[in-house]
Amino acid sequence: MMHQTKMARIKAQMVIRICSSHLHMIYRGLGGLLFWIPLLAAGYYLIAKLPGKFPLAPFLFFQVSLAPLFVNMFSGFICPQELKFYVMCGIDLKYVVGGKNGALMLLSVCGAILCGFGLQWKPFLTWQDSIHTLLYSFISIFPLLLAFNYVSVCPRLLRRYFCCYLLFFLTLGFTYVLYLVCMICLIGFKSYWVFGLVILLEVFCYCLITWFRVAPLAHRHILKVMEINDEMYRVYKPS
Amino acid sequence: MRCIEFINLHKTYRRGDVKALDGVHLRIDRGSFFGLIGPNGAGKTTLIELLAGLKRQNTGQVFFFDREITPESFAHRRRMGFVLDQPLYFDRLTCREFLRFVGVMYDLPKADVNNRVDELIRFFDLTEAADRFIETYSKGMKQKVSLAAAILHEPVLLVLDEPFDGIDAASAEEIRQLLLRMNGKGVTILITSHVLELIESLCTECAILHRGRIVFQSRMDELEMQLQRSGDNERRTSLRDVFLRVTSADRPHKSLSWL
Repeated sequence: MMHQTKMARIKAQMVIRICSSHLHMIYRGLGGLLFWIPLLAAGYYLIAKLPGKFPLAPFLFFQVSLAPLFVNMFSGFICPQELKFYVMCGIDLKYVVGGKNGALMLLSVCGAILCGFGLQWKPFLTWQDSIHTLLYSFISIFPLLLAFNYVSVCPRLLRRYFCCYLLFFLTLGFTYVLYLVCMICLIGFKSYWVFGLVILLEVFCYCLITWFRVAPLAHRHILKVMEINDEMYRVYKPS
Repeated sequence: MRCIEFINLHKTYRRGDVKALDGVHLRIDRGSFFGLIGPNGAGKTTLIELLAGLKRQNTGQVFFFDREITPESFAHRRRMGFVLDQPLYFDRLTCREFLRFVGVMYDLPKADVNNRVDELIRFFDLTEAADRFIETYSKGMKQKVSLAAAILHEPVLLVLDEPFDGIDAASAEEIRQLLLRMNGKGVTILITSHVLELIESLCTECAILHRGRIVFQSRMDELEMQLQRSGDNERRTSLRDVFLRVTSADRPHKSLSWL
């Protein structure tokens, strides 16, 4: 029992270390993000100015602002140099997957909160708009994270860009349907509890599937994934 | 006692068209300083990448002490240190941050990590550049960072693929002394290099890999005795002669028509 507790503590420490290291690395790349902020602000300003308060404006804004984050996540996950480093250091990829997901989940949640309440910047959008954006953000984050996790470790998906995009848009479509269902419930029950329940369920499934399905897949497929990534990076190496 | 043993290792590329390793048998004893040499494309880097878990053999076994290792087994690699021919580091971290990150990944206590990182930065003459991104470093400096990361956690086996590539003569001499000291303390070292004089001066044992096979293996002291016996009086024979004899037997004579 003592041994098991000690092992669990060591595993948790490793996940936290990788998570904090990734947050640190992302922080080092903030210079690049600063470049995006004026562009995002301009985009938001244009969308929000659309007449009659275009109902999808907050969601479009959310998608646009989250896109770099997901691109970052995707490239972070598949970077062969990094994967090789962890393999060479003898770190079980379960912890790497756990740590990376932890870091990205934290960032996504912060992004969603910023997105939701950032909307208050324009006075003609109400608090309700903000709350709805926040809820939609939360509903779409976890399935998107899960989809990208699968893409990152599954050689069959990784090899075909078409599949990656298809998965991305299918996930978005699925989350929008979920959001609409929750909105209908909100009108019926006049309460946000369905949103909470759906988000909780999503978080639970995301954590469970990532740890028990994606992490073992990463472990099994690592050599294949690295081989494909090497090929991809040879062609698409970012400048 | 063996530290590493490769048994009948086969590795092919391009669906079997290219044979990188063709039945390699090699045993490296604990505490030895082992030099692996061979022409370009002989399979040295493939052998090291198999050991690092970055490639999977088609057939054959690899043992680390008494345990067989596979790409799926991770724990044993925490006792090894690697400098690969294409060093692995995070370009957007500074040298100090990267070495601290490596120390943390190897479970070293924080105080030890900080002390060791400071010492390594001083040892490898990286003090002035320590807080600059690694992507701005020269090739030699990057090589030093890789070496520092490989020895930070006191590995029992140090695997070095062309470690002196791009490193200046003064630093190379200091690193040579460091490696000898580590070997003296019981660390097993496997090194590949095209500089045969370096292998001769550092190693206790060496092997020649040619076309994916071990074609020559000897202890350096035994080789020295053989060379003394076979050498003529005018010119002392060396590892270079053995290397050329073993690897050039089937090479055609080449020349350029305009020279």
